[in-house]
Amino acid sequence: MNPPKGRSNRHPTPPGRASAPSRSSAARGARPADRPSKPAPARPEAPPPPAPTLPPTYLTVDSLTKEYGDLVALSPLTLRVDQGEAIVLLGHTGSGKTTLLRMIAGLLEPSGGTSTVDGHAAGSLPSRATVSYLSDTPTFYDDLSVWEHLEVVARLHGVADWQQQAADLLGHLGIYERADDLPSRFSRGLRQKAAIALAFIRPFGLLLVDEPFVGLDAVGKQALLELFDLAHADGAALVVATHELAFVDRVERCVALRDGRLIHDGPTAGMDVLELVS
Amino acid sequence: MPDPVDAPVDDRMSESDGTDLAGPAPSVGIAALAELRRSRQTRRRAQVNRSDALYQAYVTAFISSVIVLYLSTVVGDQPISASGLERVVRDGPGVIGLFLAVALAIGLRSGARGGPVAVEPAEVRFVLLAPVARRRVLLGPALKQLRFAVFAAAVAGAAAGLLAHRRLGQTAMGWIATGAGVAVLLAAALLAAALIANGLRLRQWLATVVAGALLAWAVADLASDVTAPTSVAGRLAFAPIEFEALDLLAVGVVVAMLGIGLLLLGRGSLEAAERRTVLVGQLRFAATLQDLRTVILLRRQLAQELPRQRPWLRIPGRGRFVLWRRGWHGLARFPLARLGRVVLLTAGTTAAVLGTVHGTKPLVVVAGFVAYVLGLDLVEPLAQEVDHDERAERLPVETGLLLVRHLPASAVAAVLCGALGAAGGLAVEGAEGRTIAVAVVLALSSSLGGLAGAVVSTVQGAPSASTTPSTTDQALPPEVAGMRIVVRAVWPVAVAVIGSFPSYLVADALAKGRNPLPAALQGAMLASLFIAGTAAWVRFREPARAWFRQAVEDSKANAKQRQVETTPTARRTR
Repeated sequence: MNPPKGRSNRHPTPPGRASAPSRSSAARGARPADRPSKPAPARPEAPPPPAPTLPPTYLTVDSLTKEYGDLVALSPLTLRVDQGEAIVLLGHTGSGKTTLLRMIAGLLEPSGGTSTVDGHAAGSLPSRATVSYLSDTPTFYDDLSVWEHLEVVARLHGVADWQQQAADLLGHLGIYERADDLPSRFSRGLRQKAAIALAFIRPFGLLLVDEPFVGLDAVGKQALLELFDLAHADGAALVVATHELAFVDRVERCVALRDGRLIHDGPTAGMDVLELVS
Repeated sequence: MPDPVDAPVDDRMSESDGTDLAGPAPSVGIAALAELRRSRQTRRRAQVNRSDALYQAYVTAFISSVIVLYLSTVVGDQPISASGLERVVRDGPGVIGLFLAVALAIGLRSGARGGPVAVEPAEVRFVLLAPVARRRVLLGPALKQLRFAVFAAAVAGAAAGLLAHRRLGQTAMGWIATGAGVAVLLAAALLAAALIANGLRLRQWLATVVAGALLAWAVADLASDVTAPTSVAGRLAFAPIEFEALDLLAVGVVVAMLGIGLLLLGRGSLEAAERRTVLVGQLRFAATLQDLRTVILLRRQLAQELPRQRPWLRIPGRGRFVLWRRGWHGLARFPLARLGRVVLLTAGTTAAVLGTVHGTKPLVVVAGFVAYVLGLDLVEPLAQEVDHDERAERLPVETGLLLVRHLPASAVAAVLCGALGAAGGLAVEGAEGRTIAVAVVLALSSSLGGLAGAVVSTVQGAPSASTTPSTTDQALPPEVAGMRIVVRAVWPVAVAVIGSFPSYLVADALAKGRNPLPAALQGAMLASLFIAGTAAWVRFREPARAWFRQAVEDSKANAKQRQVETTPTARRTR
């Protein structure tokens, strides 16, 4: 992956591949004019790289633990992720990846330890403003279309020009034509694409992603990898739990868990993924 | 992640007023949220079928009227005697106080599990994880819940007030207003306790301890000279007879609790809220289908009642009696809370049986129902097999035979509960030769009857939510099919009540001065017929259903054949 070019809370605009025709907008049957049809203008040139200083730590995890009665889901884990850093989280099923991500997102209460995002306690209001979490189980309102979901999430996060960004994202993921459909009735792959769009429509400084490639076709996987590249280039920190080698090859750092314990934290170069997850 | 109370000061401030944020001002998100809720409500209203809604209101009103009329006959309409009135005024506040303690206990336990507000899963993911003040997000749903609770409580309380007026005299309006007011107070106290427990992130064990202490205090108030604070609120219920302005203090306390609860809104655990969102939706659906077993199952999940990692005891032996050992492996992994509930339900069944024996015969239904709920816990090994039927279908064993082999472990557990109940009953009544024999018969019959009811409920499964009638229903006239649905819901409890029926016969024998042991044995014989019948039903249910389906198909085919033969073309050909 490209080196970070300085932190930004800006939305990582996807490449202007959306070339869908003009369609009806937000609510089904709403004004057609609301839905932009043109792809987003080319992303402005990235700012010049900052002076060669160490990037500040963005995510700090200190002795984070999760126990369910006598079952230890995550043993005390300490981790630092710098601003603009991308890491891959590896581990077999039940190794504690999802538990770790959900605790950082503020969805799970730790049994011990702390985690902070940009200096704020995980789950606090400033932390929620900067953490985008893409779960392995997409969740949607039953009665809202993809477009309406995008509107809700964008507006809750104060995104002003969300329509253009939404159209671009949907075009990029290849589901612009399904914008007015209910995602709760989608297939697994389409649900995943809708969830990806929702994770990227809002600004973030830290993106937590749990098994994002499951159910995606080859085009979807490529689109997601490009979105990761853009977010990374925009200075967001990425923590992605996946075994997708295409992503593993793009990042420099890998964190591996086994049975809730940290077993590896180091460069991905020369690493045997199969050995780590077996 | 630190608790919000322990979080750094800047984090807590930003949670409340949204200052010092990297993201948007919370007011932006709140406006978006309000708009979203308005548009969704408008859409839902447009989808409501008015005639359906009116029909539902009509059915509710009709059923409520029937219940009130029935209760009127139970309560009677003769004015109570002076001594009776004196007793009501003396013990009544304690009884109402006990109701209040129960409401507070339920509220505390619900709040410790993330209640009382349950939003949609998507609301947790998108709204509660957004940089929006959670208190403002949850305030709307909380007030909506409060409004509904107040309305329902006021209606029920007013009906209770009307019934009280028939026996206790004074003005009808006074009793109706008092009944409605006290019921609203109870509902508000329940919600307030839940909101406070949630906001303070009260641990479940602490909530249980506080709830237990409140209940014990209220019971002690009833049984002795101790005065519990809950009985002060109870005195309000008898305001038409005796009113003291100081009792209004209870109203002030509940209102203050409610205010504190609403202020603490949004400080609860998101983990509990998310767990609750999923399970409450399923619970409501199960309740709609009158599926008590699923309701209890989901309640266990809501309480995070997980099996123990290590069983309390290891079952020796290997190779033979696989299902017997499998059953005990499951039962031996009951967590402490579940074991406690089993003991409590055993005590409840024993108390109801004792009440029946001492002459309060309607308690036989309570005894049967409590034994049925106990049975739903003990039937766990069988329930696991039924809930994972895809595994059973792959085994080279007939399903009925497989299921029936799960019963011995549960039956032995029921016998142990029965023995515990008999010991408890004898401790109260005093142990002597004849009493011991009667106690053993009654306890075993009740616990095994409850288990049989639970077996029926488990094996027949949840009612189908499908609008397409089954093959069996298609073969039955609509009236019979409707009755079948009612019987299906009532039958498991009825079997359990039959198990407790010997206590009814014992009460009858005692009232007539006869030996209660033959009566108990007579009842137990009847109950054992039903219990054995249940086991036979489990064993031969599938073959019987297959035979019935085949018979229906054959009958349809014959009818079609006859129709073909009677057509003019067929006659000509012949």
